[in-house]
Amino acid sequence: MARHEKALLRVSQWLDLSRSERQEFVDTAQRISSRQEAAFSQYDEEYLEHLKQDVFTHEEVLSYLEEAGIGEDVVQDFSSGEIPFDEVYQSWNEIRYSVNEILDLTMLLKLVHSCSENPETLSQGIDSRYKFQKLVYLVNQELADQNRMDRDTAPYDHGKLEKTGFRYTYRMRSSGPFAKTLEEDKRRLYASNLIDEEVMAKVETPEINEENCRYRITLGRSGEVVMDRFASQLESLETEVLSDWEDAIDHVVLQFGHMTVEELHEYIMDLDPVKEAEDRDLLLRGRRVKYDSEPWITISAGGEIGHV
Amino acid sequence: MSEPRIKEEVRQSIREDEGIDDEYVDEFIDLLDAKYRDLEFDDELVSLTRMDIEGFKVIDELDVSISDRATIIHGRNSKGKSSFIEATRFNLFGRDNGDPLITRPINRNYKKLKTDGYWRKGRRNYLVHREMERNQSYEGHDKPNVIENPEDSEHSEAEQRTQSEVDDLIGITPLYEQGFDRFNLFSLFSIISGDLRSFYGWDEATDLIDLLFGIKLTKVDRTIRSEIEECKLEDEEQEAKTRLLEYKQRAKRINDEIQELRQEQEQVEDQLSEMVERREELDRLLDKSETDSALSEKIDLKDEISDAQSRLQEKEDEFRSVKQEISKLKDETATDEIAPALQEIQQLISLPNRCPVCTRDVDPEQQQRFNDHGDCPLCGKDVPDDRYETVSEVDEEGEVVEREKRQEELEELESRRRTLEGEIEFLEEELEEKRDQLETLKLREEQSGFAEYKREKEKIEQEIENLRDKNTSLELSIDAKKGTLHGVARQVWEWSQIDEERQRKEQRMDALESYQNIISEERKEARRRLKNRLEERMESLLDIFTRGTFANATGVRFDRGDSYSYTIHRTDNTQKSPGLLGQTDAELLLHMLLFHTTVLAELEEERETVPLKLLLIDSPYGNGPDDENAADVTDFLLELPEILESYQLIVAMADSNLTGRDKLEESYALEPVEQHI
Repeated sequence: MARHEKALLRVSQWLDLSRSERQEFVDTAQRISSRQEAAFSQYDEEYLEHLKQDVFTHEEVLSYLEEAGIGEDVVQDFSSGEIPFDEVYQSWNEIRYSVNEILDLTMLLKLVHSCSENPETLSQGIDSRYKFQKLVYLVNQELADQNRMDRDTAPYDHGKLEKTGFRYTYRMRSSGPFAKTLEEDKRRLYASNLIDEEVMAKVETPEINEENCRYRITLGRSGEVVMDRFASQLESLETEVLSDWEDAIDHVVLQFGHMTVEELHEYIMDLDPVKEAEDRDLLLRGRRVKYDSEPWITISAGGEIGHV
Repeated sequence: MSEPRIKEEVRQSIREDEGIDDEYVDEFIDLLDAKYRDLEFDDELVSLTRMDIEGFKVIDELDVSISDRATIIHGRNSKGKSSFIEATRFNLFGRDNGDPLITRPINRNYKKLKTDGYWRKGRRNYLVHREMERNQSYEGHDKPNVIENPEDSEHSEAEQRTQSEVDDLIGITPLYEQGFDRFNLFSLFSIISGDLRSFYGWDEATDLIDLLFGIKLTKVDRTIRSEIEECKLEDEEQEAKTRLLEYKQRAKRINDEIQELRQEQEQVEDQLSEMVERREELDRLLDKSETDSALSEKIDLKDEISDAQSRLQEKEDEFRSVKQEISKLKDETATDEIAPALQEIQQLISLPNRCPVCTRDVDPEQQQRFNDHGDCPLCGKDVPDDRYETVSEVDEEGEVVEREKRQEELEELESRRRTLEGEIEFLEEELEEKRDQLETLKLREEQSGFAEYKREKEKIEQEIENLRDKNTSLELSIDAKKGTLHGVARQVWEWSQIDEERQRKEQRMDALESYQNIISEERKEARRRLKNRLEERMESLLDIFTRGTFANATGVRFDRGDSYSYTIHRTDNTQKSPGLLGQTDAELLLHMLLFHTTVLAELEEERETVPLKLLLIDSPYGNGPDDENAADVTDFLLELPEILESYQLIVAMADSNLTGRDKLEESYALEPVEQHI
């Protein structure tokens, strides 16, 4: 379809024309406006204005509409240039996430994917919500330790975690470091089929919501589709902040992915900040920098509204 | 030796004495003429007729009339007989601030004390009123009032006169004018047990006796002594000689130092002018040399180098800032790289399709409700506005443009960075080249004589500077030393003034001492004669003492020295001298009765003498009955009115001592204190 045929197509749909009539309408209108075509982008205001002023008021279009049996009042709207574009175009509701939230969700998927790809944990995903929480903590901890000036500056100096890493803030709980917002994000992933949680066995972990049974976290149907498409891209990132993050995930998975819950628990509880913390003490604040560009919106104009 | 002869001899001695410098001769003779004179006393005799006392020590009120001759005031102990004597003295002289005997003069029942002494002088009567209040510092509050003919005139007691009027009344002014203390000289006229030696032990008693007996040289001597006193050296004058020498030596030392510094300064100036000459020569040599152009070339090169350096600095700064911008831009677009993945996920999670709690799928109706009404597909409640967004195809997006622009900016910056890198490299090369040129130039300079001249000139300039510094510092040192020298010279002058005064005083003192020796020498004869008189008188008085201590006295010997002290010799070869006795020794009382009586009796023989003819005796038996001497004392008291014929005698004693009452009544009027209270 030619670039700005889409606007004309939407108008034809709004007029409830039949398939053949639509094509005719589009062709007619396009012929009339063809001389200025190159100057306009898809839904540009100027283009729409051009359609209103120069195309839809054209005798040829108006007579075509009359012939097609369109109501008089609508034809009148055309001739006076009062097409309600808002009605003409399709619209739908979307739950809104900021780019920063989406970034975290994406990197969480990457983490689950890495665990599945890890030869030691192959096709098993992450074997507990406990491990899920702690691996994310270890990723952020590793980023926090990088480029830090020295150990004593820890409370003020977040190292690379200033600029990259997950935004989750960890506090001390009975199970060790725990981030409530991570739990929320995990639910969001689940709600959209990006991950699955499979009940494993009647074996508990120290984690708060795993007291009765353990959950294995794997990629969901949608998650697998996304990772099939983007996993290799996520492995070879060039932007420093992203590649550092990604490296930290890979490194943590390699080092801790194979551990049992007990081994991991022993390791985590022996870390200096954890050992010294009291209940609900702040252990680690998440990434501070917010990214502000929302690149996907610019791309969302391609094709039919296929999702949801 | 007759008086005019004595005076003439003294005059002669002053002129001849080698110890007396000529410059003092006239002064000393004048002094002799002025002072070698008899004292002149009033002829009219003074006596006490009545004493009215109130609130004085133990006395409440006491009013006693006194007869012309001899009176004994007696009473029980602590009834005020002794206080009577003290009150009489107070009436005449006020409070003796140095006398411990009158520490609490006012009777405890009275606010003030009052003494009214009625005195007769010739035919006239006088009232001497003197009072003193409690609650005041006593000193200065005991001024007298002197009233003539008190019976005939209206008078106010409160009016105050000066002590000199009382002195005039009782005729002691000529003695007071000679510098004698009133209380001390009055002590000749009183024998008070407890204070017996107040006259005999007084260091001016000798002078007083001399004057009373017409030894006029003592008057001269006293003047000389006060002159000598004035010649005593002040502390400053005593050290003047040493200090003067010290400062003189110091001044010399500083002067020597200044001379040394001046010599050094001259040397430095010589060196300096040599150096300056050599520098001028070098300047001429350097002018001639062709290296002027090289020098300017060098300067240009240096300028160019510094210019290139600052340009390089600028470029490096810009390079850094471009790099920072690139890094910032890259961070901003961090998410661009994975934009497709993010978009995919955004789409996937834009509408939940199963519940994470119950794990059941979302129905199409639930999805429709969300699309139509914004209700949550899971719980059915309204999704908060900021949590969802209605998306339309028309949502025109400038983001693409922005992204492209960002990319363009980035490319532009990258290109700028590359340009800068090139420029920096170029500048560094240029710098290197200029530095090499500079090195070459320096090398060329080294090889020519120019460099040598220049080095020498630099060295000489440094030396000139050093020498100038040294010269300046020498100048400063000299100035400082001059300042010090000035101060020291001033000290020398000041101390030499003081030292001159010292020499003058010492010289005068020597002369005065010689003069004093002459006087002493001349006076010896007069004193010897007086002492003989006193010895004779005392020996005759000793005859009265037949039963006690002095019963076996063989004679009296007055000391040959400069005082009227004496010794009584006894048959057992023991000697009695009052100077060796304790204040409370009963024997001292005997001595004083004897001594005072002797002096006063001899005074009666003198033509010119004090008109006050009064002898006060307090407790002649001491404070307790003295068995050994009591009879002798009674005998003596009985004889006393005969011996001191012209004197008014007032004796105070305790009733318990009034042993020979019957006999005493013959010679004395007895006044019991109790009757007059």
